[in-house]
Amino acid sequence: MTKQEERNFEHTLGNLNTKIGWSEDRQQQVRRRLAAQLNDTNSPEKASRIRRYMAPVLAFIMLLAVTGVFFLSEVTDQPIAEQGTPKQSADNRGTDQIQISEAEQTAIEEIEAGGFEVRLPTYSPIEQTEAVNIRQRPTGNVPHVSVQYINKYKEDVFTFQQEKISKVSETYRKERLSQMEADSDRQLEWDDYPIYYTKKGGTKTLKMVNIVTPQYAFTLASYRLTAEEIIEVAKSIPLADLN
Amino acid sequence: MPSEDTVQKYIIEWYDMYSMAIYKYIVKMLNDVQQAEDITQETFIRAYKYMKNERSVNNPKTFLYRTAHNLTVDHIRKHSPIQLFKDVFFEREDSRASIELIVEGREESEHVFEDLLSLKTTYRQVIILRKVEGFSIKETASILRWSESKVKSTLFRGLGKLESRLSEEGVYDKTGRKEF
Repeated sequence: MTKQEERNFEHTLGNLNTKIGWSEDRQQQVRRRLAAQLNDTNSPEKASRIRRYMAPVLAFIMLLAVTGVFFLSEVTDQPIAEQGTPKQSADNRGTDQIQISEAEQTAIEEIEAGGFEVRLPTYSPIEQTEAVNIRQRPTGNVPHVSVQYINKYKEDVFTFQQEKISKVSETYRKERLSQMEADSDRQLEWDDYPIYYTKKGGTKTLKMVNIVTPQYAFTLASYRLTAEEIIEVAKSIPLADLN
Repeated sequence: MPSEDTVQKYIIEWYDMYSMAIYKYIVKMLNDVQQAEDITQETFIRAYKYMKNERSVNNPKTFLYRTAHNLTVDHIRKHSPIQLFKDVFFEREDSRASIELIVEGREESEHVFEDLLSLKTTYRQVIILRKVEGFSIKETASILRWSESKVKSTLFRGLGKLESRLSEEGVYDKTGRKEF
């Protein structure tokens, strides 16, 4: 590069910021979201203070209740064991382990109101997995929904992405599918749809699963789960009656 | 110690002052406007949580850039693989279009932006902070938590890569005139 070129190059780099725009509308929208989130961030603190004081009281009440049940069972001579067992999950696979907050549930409803059929996995091998950051991205012809699944320590368990691919051309779809097939380490079938499992090396192995239906494409990715676990998660996506 | 409300007020003030710059920095790192908005928001949330724990911030701008930088790099590390599938379907239709949408202006800027995005993350971040955002060597070192000598050497190598890519594409001719 000559000196003139270098000056032009430095000038272009320096001016790059002026070429990137962010509408005031969008900026204000994020500002409102931030303000709301700051308020929410305060709330759990207050709630935890209440919990701190309430916990001993609740523990005492529960102790009384348990003692009462034992006392009554002695009096009526009925074995406790016959009075019921803890609730089991529907398919004995822990389908009730994924928690979704009300706010995230509302986000799903809003996305679905726009014609996107959200189908989230219902199973996680990790207890108390929570679905967070449920967001729709209206990218081009392929809008997609992304969700993060975290454990109780707020660590990533897996990520999920559902893309509406109904507007992708058939030729292009076939071409990409055959490439996915070639790249995948394992293929199996579930609900008449192929599941592609791929692992990516590195210091930590990323496990990915793709499922493609005529209307939607699903991607699951995880560093934490094993191949079998992430495949089980993929199988819990309710694909039946997907329009 | 400032009250939670005071901290909240600071954060909103900082948002008004720095959010545009932070957003543009993230866009240049990721080429994804949606993610850039999310990470911008998260940057200020992190700043709030940090200050709420009775910790003070001497230079808010550098602090916010460092937070944004950490979140962006974390995002690249954790989430880029899942984008692969998206890219599979987007490759032809959207990748070029998105660059055109983000960078409004002459073709030359688009070329530079595109080549910048193709560089590895360390080169990209140091070039953006030094040459686009205009931070000093010392500030860049503080944001990236590198030594000043590492900033200098990585910048030198990164600029070399970027220049050679632009030259290969014929963005600059041999007489020193731009071809646009």
